[in-house]
Amino acid sequence: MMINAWDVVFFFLAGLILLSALGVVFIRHPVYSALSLLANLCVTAILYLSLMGAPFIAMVQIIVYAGAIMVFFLFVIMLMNLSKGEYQERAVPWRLLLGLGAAALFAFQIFILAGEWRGVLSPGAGGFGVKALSHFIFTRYILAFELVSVLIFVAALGAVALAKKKL
Amino acid sequence: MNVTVPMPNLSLVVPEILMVILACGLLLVDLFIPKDRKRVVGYIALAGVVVVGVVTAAFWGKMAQPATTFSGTFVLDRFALFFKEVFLFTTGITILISLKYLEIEKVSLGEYYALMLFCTLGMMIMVSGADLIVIYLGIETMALSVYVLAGFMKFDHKCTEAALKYFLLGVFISGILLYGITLIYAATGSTQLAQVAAVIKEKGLAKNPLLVLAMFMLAAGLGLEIAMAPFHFWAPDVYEGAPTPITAFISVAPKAAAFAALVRIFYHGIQLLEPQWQILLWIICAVTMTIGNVTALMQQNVKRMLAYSSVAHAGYILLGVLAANQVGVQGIAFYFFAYAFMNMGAFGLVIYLRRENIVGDDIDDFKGLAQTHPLLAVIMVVFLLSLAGIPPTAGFVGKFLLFAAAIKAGFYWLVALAALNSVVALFYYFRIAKAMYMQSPEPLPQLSPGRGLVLALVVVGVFTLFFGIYPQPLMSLAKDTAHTFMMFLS
Amino acid sequence: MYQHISQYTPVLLFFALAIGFGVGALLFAYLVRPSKPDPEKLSPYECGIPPLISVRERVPIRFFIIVMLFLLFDVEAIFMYPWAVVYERIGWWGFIEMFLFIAILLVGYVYAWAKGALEWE
Repeated sequence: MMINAWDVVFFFLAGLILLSALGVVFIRHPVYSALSLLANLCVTAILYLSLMGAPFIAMVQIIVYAGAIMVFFLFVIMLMNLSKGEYQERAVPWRLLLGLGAAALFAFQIFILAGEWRGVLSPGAGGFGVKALSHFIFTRYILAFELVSVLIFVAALGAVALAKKKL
Repeated sequence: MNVTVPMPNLSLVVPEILMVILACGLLLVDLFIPKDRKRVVGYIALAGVVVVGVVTAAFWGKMAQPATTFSGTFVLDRFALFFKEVFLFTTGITILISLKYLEIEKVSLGEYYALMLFCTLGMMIMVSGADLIVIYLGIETMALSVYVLAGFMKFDHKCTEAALKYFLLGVFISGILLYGITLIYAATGSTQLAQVAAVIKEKGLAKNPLLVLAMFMLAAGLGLEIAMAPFHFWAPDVYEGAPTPITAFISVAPKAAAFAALVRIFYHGIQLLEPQWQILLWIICAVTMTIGNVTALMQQNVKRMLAYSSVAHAGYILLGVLAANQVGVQGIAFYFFAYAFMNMGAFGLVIYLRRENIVGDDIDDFKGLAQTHPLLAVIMVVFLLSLAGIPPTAGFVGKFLLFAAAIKAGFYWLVALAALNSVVALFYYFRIAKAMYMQSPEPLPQLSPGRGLVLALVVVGVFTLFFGIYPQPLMSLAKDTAHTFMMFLS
Repeated sequence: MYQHISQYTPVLLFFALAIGFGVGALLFAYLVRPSKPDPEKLSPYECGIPPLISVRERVPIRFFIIVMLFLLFDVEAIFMYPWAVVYERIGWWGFIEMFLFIAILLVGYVYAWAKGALEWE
C-alpha cells in the first residue's frame, strides 16, 4: 500500500489531536488543561481546513470555539479559582460509567465507518466550500437563518434576566 | 453572476412574524413601564396572543391542502394550525393566571411575558417545521425560554435548582437529538422530511442501522419535553420548583409541541421504519403510563402528583401515536385541547390557594375546601374527573378516542394496561377530592385571587364540561386535522 | 482531491516562519548567554518587598454577562462571513435577510443596554 503525503499530514494532525485530548483529561492544573483543549481545537480546525475541505467550519472552530468558548472556560476556571489542593484531590464521580459511555460511542463510530451501510454520503462528497454553503444558508435555509437570530436573542435575554441582580 | 432567489410565500408565516414583532415590541415597551405597573405588559401580551390566535384561525379554511414555503422547510397544514391554537390558548391562560401570582412572588417583570411569547414562537415553528434543522431551531427557542422561565424566581433556591437540573438535562438531550439529525443526514443526504422519506423508500433503507439509531435519538430528544420514560425524572422536581403558572405551562404546551414534532417526523419522515418505532414506542408507552401512575400514588405534594400524572398522560397519548391511523391523530389533537383545559385548571387551583407564606401545593391545603369555598371545590372535581377520564368531561372523550384508535390498530394488551392504569389513577385523584370534601378545614387566611385567575378558571372549567357533553365541534376540527395529515401516507 | 488547500501554502509557510523565529531566538539566546543561576534572581522582585498574598484573585461574577453577550454576538458575527461571500450573487434579497437578522439582534442589544447589562455595577 502506498502512503501518500496526505496520509502523513493526517497522521501527524491526528496524533496531535489525540495528544492534546489526552492532555485535557490528564493534566490536573485547570488552566493548563484548558490550554490543551485550545490546542486540540486549533489542530482540529487545521484538519477541517486541510483534509476535509471545510474552510468555513474550520474558521467557526477557531472564532467561536477557540475564541469565545475558551474565554468562557477560562472565565469559569478563574471564577472558581481553585487552589492546588482542591483540584488535585478531586476524582470525577461516575467516571467508570462515563468512560464506558465514551467507549461505546467510539466503538459505534468505528462500527459505522467500517460497515458497508454508511449511507449515501461519503466523506468529502459534494461542495463544502464556503460559497456552496453560503448559498445554501441564504437561499434554502433563510428561515433557519432568521430563526438563529431569534435564538441568540432569547439566549441574551435569558442570560441578562437570570444573571442581573436587579433588573 | 446573479442568482434569482425564489421569493418565499411570506403569507404562510404571518402568525410567526406577528409573534416575533409582538415579543420584541413587548421588551421595548417594557423599558418604559414603571416597576409597579408591569401588569400592563401582561395585558399587552395577552391581547397580542389573542390577535395571533385569530390570525392563525383565519388560515383554517384555506388549508384543506398543506402548503409549503421557504424551499419546503416550512409547512402549514391543519395539523400545524390546530396545535398552534393549542399553544396560543395555553399561553393566553398562563398569562391570565400569572398576573397576580407574579406580584405575590415579587417577580413581576416584562421579560417573563416576552420569554413566554418567544417560547410560543418556538413551538409554532416546531409544529410547522418540515426540515429537521428548522424543527431543531424551534425546539431550542422553546427550550431556552422554558429554562429561564422555570428559574425565574432566581432568589428561591428550589426554583433555581429545578431550572438548573432542567437545563443540564436539556442541553445534554439536545446534543443527542442533534446527533440523531446528523445520522439521518448521513444516511439519506437530506434533512427535509419529505426527501428523507423519499430516499428511504427509493434505496430501501428501512432497516439501515444508522436510521434506526437516529430514530432512537430523535425519540430521546423529543421524549424529554414529552416527559416520557426514561426521561421523565426531571418532571417532578421542575414542576415543584418552577413558578406554578410556568409549571402549568410546561405540563401542557411543550409537551404538545414535542408530540406534534414527534408525530410529524415519525409519520412523514421515517414512516417506513414503522415496525422499528412501533416496538420502541410500545415499550415506552407501557413503562411511561405505569411509572407515572404508580409513583403519583405516593405523592403528598399536589404539584408533584400532577407532574407524575402528566407523565402518565404522556403514556396515554403515545397510544395514539402508536396507532398511526386517522383516529389516533384525531385523538392526539383532541386530547391536547382537553388536556390543556383540565391541567391548566388543576394548576390554576393550586395558584388560587397561593397565599403569603403558603405555596398551596400540599394536599393538606385542600382540606375542607368544600366547606369554605364550595364552588371552587366543584370546579376542582370537574378537573379531576376529566383528568381521570370520567364522563361527562372532555378528558373522557379524548381518552376514548385514543383507546379506540389503539384498539383499531390492534394493540389490545396495551389498551388493557392503559385501562388498568386509569383505575390506579382514580385513587390519587380521589385523594384530593377526599381532602376537599371529607376533611374539616383548617383556619386559613382569606384567599385573594386576581380577576385574571378567576376568569381563566371559569373558561377552562366551562370548556372541560362543554366539550365533555357536546364534543362534536372540537371532534370535527380534530378529524379534519387528522384527515389532511394522514392523506399523504397512503 | 486536496488541490484546494494549495492556496493555504503561504499561510503554512508564514506559520512555520513564525514558529521558527520564536524557537530560534530563544535557542540562540540560550546558547550564547552566560548562565549563572542565583535564587535572588528568581524572586519576583529582586529589590523590593516580597509579595504578601497570592496574586491570583477570584474573577468577579460580573464578567458573566459580558462573557455571555460576547459569545452570543460572536456567533452572530460568524454568519456575516458566508453572507459576505455570496452577497454579490444574492443582491438585495440578501441585504434584506441580513438586515432582518441584525435588526432582531439589535433589539436584544438595546434591551441589554437599557437594562444596564453592559454596566459595571
